[in-house]
Amino acid sequence: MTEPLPVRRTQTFQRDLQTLVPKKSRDNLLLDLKSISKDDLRRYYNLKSPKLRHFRSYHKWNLRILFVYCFQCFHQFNKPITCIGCDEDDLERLVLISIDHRSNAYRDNRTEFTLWEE
Amino acid sequence: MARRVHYEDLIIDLYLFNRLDTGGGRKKVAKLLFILEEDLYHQKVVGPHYIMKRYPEGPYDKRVETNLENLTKNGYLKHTNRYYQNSVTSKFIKEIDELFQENSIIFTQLDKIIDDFGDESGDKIADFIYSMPQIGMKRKSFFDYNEFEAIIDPREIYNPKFSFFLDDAWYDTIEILLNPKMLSKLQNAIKDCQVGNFTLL
Repeated sequence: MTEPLPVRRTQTFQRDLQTLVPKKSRDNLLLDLKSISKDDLRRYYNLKSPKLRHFRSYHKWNLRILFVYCFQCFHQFNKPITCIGCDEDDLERLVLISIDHRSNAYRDNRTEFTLWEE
Repeated sequence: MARRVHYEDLIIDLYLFNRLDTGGGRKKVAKLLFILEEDLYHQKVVGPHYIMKRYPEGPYDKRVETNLENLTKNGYLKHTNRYYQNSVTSKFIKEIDELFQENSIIFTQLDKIIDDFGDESGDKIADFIYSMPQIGMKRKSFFDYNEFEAIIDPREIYNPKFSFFLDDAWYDTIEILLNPKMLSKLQNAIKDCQVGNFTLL
């Protein structure tokens, strides 16, 4: 299937978009995300570990966008099934979860004692 | 491209502490990591990325201390007079068990070292290292290296037989798991999914 999948954004994703992505780059990013088809999904790897394996990772520039394919959300981490966004009869959509800067977190510096830094 | 972080070193540090019942100070930890790097060097295997130099108190890399402080600051270790594991340490280790299976050559070796030296003090482990007639890249005793000369530098292992190196999927996973802010944000985002807090694109 080459048709782009419908996309939903969580509030977390929306907040991240406003705070982490420069205004002039947002449309570009959203355009890319809106063009992902079901065939494209296999290019985006799942994270590892039991806690995170349902999320897929999409990289653009220095950003990591986590998303789930609605089918995964409905059947995997959403037990008991209560997600209003997932229609059991229509699970062909992407759910954009969050955005982070990749590897901007850890600084190998004695004066900065945090593993993350914005 | 963002700078790549050696999360492999943090994983090894946390694995070590998860096994050390009595905890350890930076001296003991550095000595244990040195013995690991020494053993792996001879097998042409890259594990931790610490560049162990000759310091007055034995082989050491200052990044050992930085990593321990950062892990403590972020709640993955606790510190009183020395560093100890806590419940977050063990949860993290359990979460990435699959990674240890994939890199068992490193962690099996570390297990042996912990079994042999885990109950010893940092001073005793240092004495053991000093007693070895040949160590490091130049195969000479500790005291034959110049002060602050590199004894082991994993970057000098060319064409390694094996290297503990996180692929993209593991790298992203570890980056999130070791960042309490990111993890908490993800959990909130899952709640968004469960209650349908969506916007259509």
